Amino acid sequence: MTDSGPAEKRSRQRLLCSDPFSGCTLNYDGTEYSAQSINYNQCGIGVFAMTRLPEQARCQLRFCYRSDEDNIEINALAAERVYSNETEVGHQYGFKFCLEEASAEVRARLIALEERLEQDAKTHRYGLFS
Amino acid sequence: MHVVRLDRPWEDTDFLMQGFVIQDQSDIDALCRQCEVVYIEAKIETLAQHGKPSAPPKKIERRQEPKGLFSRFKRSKKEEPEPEQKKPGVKPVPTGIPDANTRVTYINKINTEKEIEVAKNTYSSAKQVVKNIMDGIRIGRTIDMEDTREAVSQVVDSVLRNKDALAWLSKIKNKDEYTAEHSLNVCILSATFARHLGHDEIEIQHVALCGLLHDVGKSKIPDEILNKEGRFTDEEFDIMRQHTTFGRDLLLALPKTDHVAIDVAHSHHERLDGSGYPRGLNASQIPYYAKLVSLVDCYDAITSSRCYDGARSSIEALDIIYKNQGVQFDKELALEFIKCIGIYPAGALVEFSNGEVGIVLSVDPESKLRPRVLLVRDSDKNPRKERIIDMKKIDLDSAGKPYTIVSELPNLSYGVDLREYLKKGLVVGDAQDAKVPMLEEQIKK
Repeated sequence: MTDSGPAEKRSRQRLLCSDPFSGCTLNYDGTEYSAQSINYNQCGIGVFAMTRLPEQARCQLRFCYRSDEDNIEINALAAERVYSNETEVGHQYGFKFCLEEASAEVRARLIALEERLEQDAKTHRYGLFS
Repeated sequence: MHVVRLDRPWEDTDFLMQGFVIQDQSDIDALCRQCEVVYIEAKIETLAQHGKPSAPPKKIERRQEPKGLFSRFKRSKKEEPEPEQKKPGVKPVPTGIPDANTRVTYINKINTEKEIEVAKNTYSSAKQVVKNIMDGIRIGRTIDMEDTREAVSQVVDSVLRNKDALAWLSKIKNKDEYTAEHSLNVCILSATFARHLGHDEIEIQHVALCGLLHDVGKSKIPDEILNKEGRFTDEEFDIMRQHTTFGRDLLLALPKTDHVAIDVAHSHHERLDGSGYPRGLNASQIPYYAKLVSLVDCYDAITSSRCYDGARSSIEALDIIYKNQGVQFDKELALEFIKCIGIYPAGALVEFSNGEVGIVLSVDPESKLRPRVLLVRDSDKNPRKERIIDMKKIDLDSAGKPYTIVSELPNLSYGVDLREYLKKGLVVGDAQDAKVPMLEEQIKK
């Protein structure tokens, strides 16, 4: 069910998805599911959903970062599930983007989105601590 | 089919429970004799259509004389008032975070190093009480509320003396004992959170009791589902979700019951936006203590290993809570909970920018982003000579660069097991001279 096991394999830290980036739509063979985008980097995304997602490893993702200054949209991005944590409190999934299948333009947008989230980060995650 | 309401008071009928699942024709006959109209819960009916039992296959109890549970409960209240009703002038259950005038401020009366020794015993005896509750229910016993309150009292005493010791122990999790440990951890963290919010001692005792009993309904879930390794089927998941209703029924059947604990057991999976279960309540319908316990429940569930899933890090659980503030969780409570836990709680495993890995020993409340950390892995993730760094001072790594935390990791990452460090005598908390030399000696051996 999970690849997290004891060791965390993520090479880049995931950034908390800020207010302009809250939703994510997952497409499994034509059926769409909505989830909340939780954290992100240019290689992958963590989402949370109250409804369980299909067990299928691969899906296509659609999400966007929308603010007054920016509008970064990603559509039909192939992704592979790397972990799932399905509990009574909700379901958490991690997806790795299939970057080798993405165009250079999409990859550039993924990087731009990471940069926006870096800018959105206040002094620290949640902006509650100094 | 789940009967949830009759056309007359339950106490005028011979049904023991206020709500039950129809098992056979005799139940229908009994209903026909006593009522003209009954109300059923449609969701439960859907589950039954999947061919899975919508409740444990237990015959419902019926009284010979027309005296239902409610009338028995009313009698018992008259004969022996509940503890909170014994004292005249007892204030009502709070409906929100204490305001500045009523807020209680606490300080640690004892340091973590000293408290942890007492806390170990408190933790193991309280865990045994939870196991006894769960096992007892499975063989038809009722919950021993005396034992339960005593265990909760010991937990709260420890949390009031020192907020970190039991919280440390709650980080060490055995996936084989998930249900018991989770109940206890929610009790501990609920008490810690209530202390952080400034509730008084009686309120902390009460919310901790609610935390301990919040998942008691899981004792009615068949073991083969509860301990299943591998992904649940949709039907199994639906059965798991019934634990809230089972919990309500179990607590309701107690002679000296606690209304708030019943509410919390029934409502801790309700969410502000109505997406929760079992009733899909909205924000104003969810009791305050259920909102509080639901945050703790979510945090501990995500950071725990189960038979079928690995644990996620504390920060990932906090990310989910943060993103759901005002959506699923009460906004003010969610932000306070994040402050209560902190970005790098004591016992958290952290990775530095140079690749080294360490265990957070303590956090200064004034400087929560710069904890004291015990370094345990080198940049290649191999065991290293332990060293404590204090990030409040500028500690430099071997390359002469300041240590910077880049991420928090789940326990057991890179083979670092908190349990082993506690066993070895790792000093937790606020003592300045941790027993690192002793650890170094063990590494050499």
